[in-house]
Order: sequence, then structure tokens, then C-alpha cells
Amino acid sequence: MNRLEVKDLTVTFPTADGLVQAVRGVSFELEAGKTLGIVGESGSGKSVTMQTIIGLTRGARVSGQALFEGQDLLAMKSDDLRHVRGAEISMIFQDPLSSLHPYYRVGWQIVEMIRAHQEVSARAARLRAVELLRLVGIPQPERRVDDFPHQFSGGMRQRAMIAMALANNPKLLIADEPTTALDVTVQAQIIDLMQSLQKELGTTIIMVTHDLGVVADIADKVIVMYAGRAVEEADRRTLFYRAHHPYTRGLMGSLPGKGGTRERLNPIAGQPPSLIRIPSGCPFHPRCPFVMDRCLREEPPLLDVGTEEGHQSACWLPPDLVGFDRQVDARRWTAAEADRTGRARVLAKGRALTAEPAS
Amino acid sequence: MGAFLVRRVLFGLLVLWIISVVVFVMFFVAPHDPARLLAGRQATASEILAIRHNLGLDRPILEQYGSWVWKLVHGDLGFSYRGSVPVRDLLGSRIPVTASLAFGAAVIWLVIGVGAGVLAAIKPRTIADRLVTFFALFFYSMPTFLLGLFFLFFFFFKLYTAGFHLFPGSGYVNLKDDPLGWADHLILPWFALALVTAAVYSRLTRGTMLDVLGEDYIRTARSKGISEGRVIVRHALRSALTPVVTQFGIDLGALLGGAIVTENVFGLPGLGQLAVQSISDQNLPVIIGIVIVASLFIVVANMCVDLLYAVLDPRVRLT
Repeated sequence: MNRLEVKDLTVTFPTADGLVQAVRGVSFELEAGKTLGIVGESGSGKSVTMQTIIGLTRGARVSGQALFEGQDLLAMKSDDLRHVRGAEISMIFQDPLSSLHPYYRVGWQIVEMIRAHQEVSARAARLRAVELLRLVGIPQPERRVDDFPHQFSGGMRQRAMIAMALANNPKLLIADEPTTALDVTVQAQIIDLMQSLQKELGTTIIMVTHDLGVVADIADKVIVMYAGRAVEEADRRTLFYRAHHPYTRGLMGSLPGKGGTRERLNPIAGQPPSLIRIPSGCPFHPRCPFVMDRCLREEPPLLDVGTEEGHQSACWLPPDLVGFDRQVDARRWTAAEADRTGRARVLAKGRALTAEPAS
Repeated sequence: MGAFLVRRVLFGLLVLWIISVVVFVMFFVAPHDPARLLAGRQATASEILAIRHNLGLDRPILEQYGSWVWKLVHGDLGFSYRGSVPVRDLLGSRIPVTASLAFGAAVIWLVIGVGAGVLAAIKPRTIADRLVTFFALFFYSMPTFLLGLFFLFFFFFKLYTAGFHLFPGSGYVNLKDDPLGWADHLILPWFALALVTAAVYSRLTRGTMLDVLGEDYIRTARSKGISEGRVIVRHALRSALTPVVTQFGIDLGALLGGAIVTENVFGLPGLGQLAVQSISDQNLPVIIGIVIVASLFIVVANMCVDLLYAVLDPRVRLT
């Protein structure tokens, strides 16, 4: 059985400037014990999706379903959901310094988490907190349990956050950019820690990140999000070697490769779209080097592509056009530029490869 | 911590010393002849000379200052011109009144101000928030003397003439002698003083609460599945209180030096009332005494706020 099954999740925020369409129909399934990676730029709706599932988005209009072991989290009363939150599903966040309360001792914060869901004495909870800190690799946990968060280093704080999240043996751990605020060396340690804990405890993990390297390390399945939708979904291998969606390829192209010092990074031109005024048709079309007339009119559905099972992409390009030659693509990507109207043309050596979009 | 305390106390003493110099210069050096001022209009030349000699005004200024400070630190503030009562005893009898007024009002404005601020912050842009804003602006723009007079008119005069002797119109009863009478005499002044200040505190609390509620650690607290009430009180309010407490210490310290308007409106024999009387009587020793006592309260209050800040926020290192 699937541990988590999200069906057609839509989240909108009414604001003074208009309706912010943060999530526009996201669906996915996640098997118990597996790791799902959700990748996308800032504002792609990945964090909102996760926070909505556990009921942390306030003032939002939500529709769709989020079945956790068959129970719809979105239909639950807020008090019932509260008993799931922290106990069966827990979350760790991006910046461990600002995510821990500065006025309370680390141990106190873990004890609060334990006693919110378990009937145990303060003493027992404290012993458990020490044990958890030891589990996540905090040295001298008996002593450090009484430290304040500011007395911990960045990596230790994130370890403490993980200890807190695991306090009630949750079935699902949602990690929202857990390594983004950390040093590169510490990032690797945290990912290693999460992997070994997953092996030990069998926790299902959702890893939200914009870092493809993290996904490459840890995810079984990957969803790429853009402008509030899933634009590509595949297992990790397929995504990295046989990607279909130009946005996914763009993300890969903007990764530093092993080409040595002479290789240049190839960022995706332009900015992520405003979620109040999402572009017509495919929301990626203003930045897409392969833009076609159809892309301006019709939003492509998420359909099977390539040869691998479960590989889906929302793009009008032919379904068998997967994978890419990094060198050739890199040249095309640098040549791509957005014109004044925000529509893109593909240029190779100054010559247009695609037709001018009809205006 | 210890070094901080020592330095903070020394700094407080420095401030007090500067105040003593300013006061001395203002009252003894600047007037061209304090003795004539003290002696009154009908005094003869020999009387003025005698006063001048008694006050030591014929001695060098530094010597005068030295003996004045010497007396001051021994609690000798001289005698009031009215009835020749020692200023120390006079202040001693007035401080409990002002303290009763100040502490009672402080409790009320904290409860109302912080409560209303929290309410407004957890339901921003709702009716509750707008009501709090409305009342805050109403009381904030209301001068204490006007509010006090309204209170006297409705709760004393109107009730009294209608046959209800609920609140007295003025005066003070010692807490020790009659606790109920004490509270009864103070209820109207407490509220008159507190509502104006509560308005300020509700705005302050609302602002800091809104900031804190947007913090990542509040999201973490909610993700733990603890009750919303606990999130608000233990996590959000705990942080939001730090600036409130800071403000509170300073306000209370200043208030202990005398609530001049409130005490006069409600006929409370506190330091504020004494200050007004003494100024109109040109009762110099008493004025000096009040200035010294008031500045002492403010210096001590500031010191307490600094220490409290370190207690409230574990990140603050007192160095």
C-alpha cells in the first residue's frame, strides 16, 4: 500500500494583488520506506505542497486529496490532524537556526515534541531526548541536551532538528530543503545521516530541494515542479540520464559538471513566472528554448514518455525525445534568449531554429 | 555576569553623580542669591545674611557641594520650608502612595495591553483586531487628566448623586489599615492611568507578536502537533514579551517618580502631588528630594531591565 497518495492537490492564496496559484493540481504516490525527491526553483510550489499536506498553510484555499495510509489528511479536523502531525508525519526545515526556538534549550524542545504525543514522564522524555541526540551523532549528548540552539553549530542544529522530528518514530519524514542553509561538507553529512537513519528506522522520506545533487544521492523517485505543477516525474536514474522536459534538462545544464575550469555554467534564462499571472499555455514557454506555437496556447498534460515505466512529462515535444548530449545542449542553451515580450527564440549562431511565435 | 553587574552599578552611580551635580548647580549656583530666594520678600538684610551663613553659601562652592553630597548619601535631604519636616520623612510618607498607584496600574495595563495585543495579533484584520485598534487609538489620544475627570464625573459624581457610594472622589487609605478601602480609593486612578498606557502596550505587543508569529520556529512549533494555545503562549508570546518587558521596566521606573496628573486629579497624596505643591511653594529642599528620588528609581529600573533582558533571552551575554 502507498504510504502517501496525493491526488490533484490545488492550493491558492487570496491576496490583495490577486489569487496566488501556488499549487495547481499535483498528484503523486509514495511507497512506504522509499524516498521521494521534489525538485524545483523557489516559488515552484514544492514547499507549499508539503506544508499543505500537514495542515501548516494558513489562509489558503485547498482542494484535492492527500491520503496518508488511506486517510485523507485534507478532510481531517484540525485537532485530529494535529495528532498526526509530529507523531506520524514530521517535518524538518531549511534553516535550523531560525527553525529552533532561540529561548528554549534543545532538550526542552525535543521533550516537548515527545510529550505532545506520548504519555511519558518528564524524566523518561529527557532520557529519550539524550538518546535521540546520540542517535543523530551529537557528541556528549547528556551535556549538550541542556544547550541552547545558538550554542550548536549549523550542522549540529540540523541534527537536533532531525532528532526532534524522529522523536515519535514517524512513518513519514518531510524534509524541506534540509541542507540548503548548511556548508557543503556538512550537507553531505546530513544526507548520510538521513540515509542511515532511514535504513535503521524504515522511515519514508520526502526530500524537497532545489539541489539536484541531493536528489541524486537519496531519492528513489523524483518529481520536478514548475509554476505549481509537476512537469516531470521519473525514477532517479531515468531523470538524470533520460530527462524529457526542457525545464528538467535546463536544471541539469545549470549544474557544474566535471568539465574542468573551462566549462561554463548554463543557467536557464529568465525568471520563474509570477503565480498570480501564470503564462498562457505551458507556463515554461517564455523560458523554453524549444518553444513551439502550440506551447503558447495549450498547457501540456503529464503523459507517459520515453521507455521507462512511470516516466511522465508535461511537454509537447515528441515523447521519445529523451536524454541529451550535454555539450550540444549547452551550446543551444547559452544561445537561447528571451526577447522583450518574454517569449523565447532558439538561436544557433544567431540563426533562429524555431519559428517566431505568432503575436 | 559579575563583572557586568559591577560595571552596570558603577555606571548607574556615575549617572546619579551627574544628576547631583546638575541639581546642585541648578538650585544653589545658578540663582544669583538662593538665600534671598529662600528668605522671602519681607526679609531684612541681616536675616538674609544669617540664612546665607546657615546654608553655608558664604563658603567656597566645592566645599558647599561636598557637604551637600555628604548629607545626601546619608539620607539627609534637609528640611521642608513648610512645617520644618525632614524631607526624608516627607518623601517616605509619599512613596507608598505613588508606589501603590504605579504598581496597581502597571498590573492592569500589562494584562489589558498585552492581552489585547495578543488577541489582535492572532486574528489580524478581523473585527477583534479592528476593535482593539479603535480602543487603543481612543485611549491613546485621551489625556490622562481628561479620562480621570470623566471617571470622576461618571463613577463618583453621577453614582454618588444617584445614591451609590461606590468609589470615593479623592483621598488615600493605607494598605495596612484597610486593604479594601485602599483598593477602593485606587481603582479609578489605576484605570485612568492604566488605560492610556495599555493602549501603547497593545500596539507594541501586536507588532512584536505579528513579527514573531511569522518566524520559522513558530512553524516548527505548529509542525510538532502541539495545541495552538501552547504555540501562542509558550512559543510566540515568550519571544514577543522581551521588548514589552524592556519598555515596562522603564515606564514603571519613571512612574515611581510620581504620576503628577493622576495624583492631582484624584487627590492622592503621592510624590507627584508633592512635586506640584513644592514647585508652586518654591519649596527647594523638597523639589530637590523628589528629583533625586525620581532619578534613582529610573536608574535602578534601567539596571533591572538590562539584567532582565539577559534572563529573558539566553542569547544575550552580559559582558
